[in-house]
Amino acid sequence: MDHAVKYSILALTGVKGELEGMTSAELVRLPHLGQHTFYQLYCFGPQLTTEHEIALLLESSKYLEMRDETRRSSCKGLIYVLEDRSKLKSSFWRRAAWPELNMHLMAFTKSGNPIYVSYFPLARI
Amino acid sequence: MKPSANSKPEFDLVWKVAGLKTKEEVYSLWSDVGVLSDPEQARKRGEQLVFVVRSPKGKVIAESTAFKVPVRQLRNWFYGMRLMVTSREAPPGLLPELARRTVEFLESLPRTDEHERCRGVITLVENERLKRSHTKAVWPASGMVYIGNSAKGHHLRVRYFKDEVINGPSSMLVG
Repeated sequence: MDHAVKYSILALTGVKGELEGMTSAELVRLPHLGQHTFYQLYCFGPQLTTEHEIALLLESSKYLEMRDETRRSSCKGLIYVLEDRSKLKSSFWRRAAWPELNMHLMAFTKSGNPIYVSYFPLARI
Repeated sequence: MKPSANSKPEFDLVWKVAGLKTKEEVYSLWSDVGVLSDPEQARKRGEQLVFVVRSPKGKVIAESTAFKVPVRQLRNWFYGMRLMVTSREAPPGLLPELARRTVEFLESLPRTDEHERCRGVITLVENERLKRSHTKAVWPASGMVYIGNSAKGHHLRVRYFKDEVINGPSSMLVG
């Protein structure tokens, strides 16, 4: 992947103001996705519940889509790598498509982590 | 003359029940458009027919076929779907409709074979004209999602079955 820009998007704080989790993103170009540009999303927070993690990803996706529309960049959508392989024991995370995030399994990393892709509504290849 | 949008083609579902007469009509179509001229290959493909589409006059104008295939990139099994539409006689929108119906039918099949369980449908878009005209990252009618190019530069698209899960890491097909 060609790393270009990386920045934080959202932070999720608990009722006492403590940091529970956050997302960040960077622009990447994937050779086997026709060299198109995507935002790769990252999510941090070891204590995050599944519900909160999905909410963070969803809000971050909406933000990136809006940002992309405003800037009229040529990003096609989002990439998310499921880094925590222990999650693959869960049937929830092993779903081939995640409809709530509009994500679809696209490939695996060399080490076997699933890579998901979500396209912006008007994306063309 | 190109048919109007009102010409309604007839979709015959022939999965595993295609008769010899239907198969011969399809072989003839393949031969006319210059694909599968080898009789043995045509016979094998004939066993994979899903839909045969006829014009209002009864002529075969399109077909779809499917077969089970392990996909290394996705480390799981899928139905490989092939679609063929004759450009001269097909009404507008026939290809997406054929894709949608074929995907929905394949999704309705029982998935009892755990070892080779199909997680969805995959297709390879080889036709250069199609690659230029059907460029939406997600095909709206069938939900086929672009997931990259093959080594030959053809477009790979996939549609997962609802609620289907992928194999765990220990049992995945190794890419």
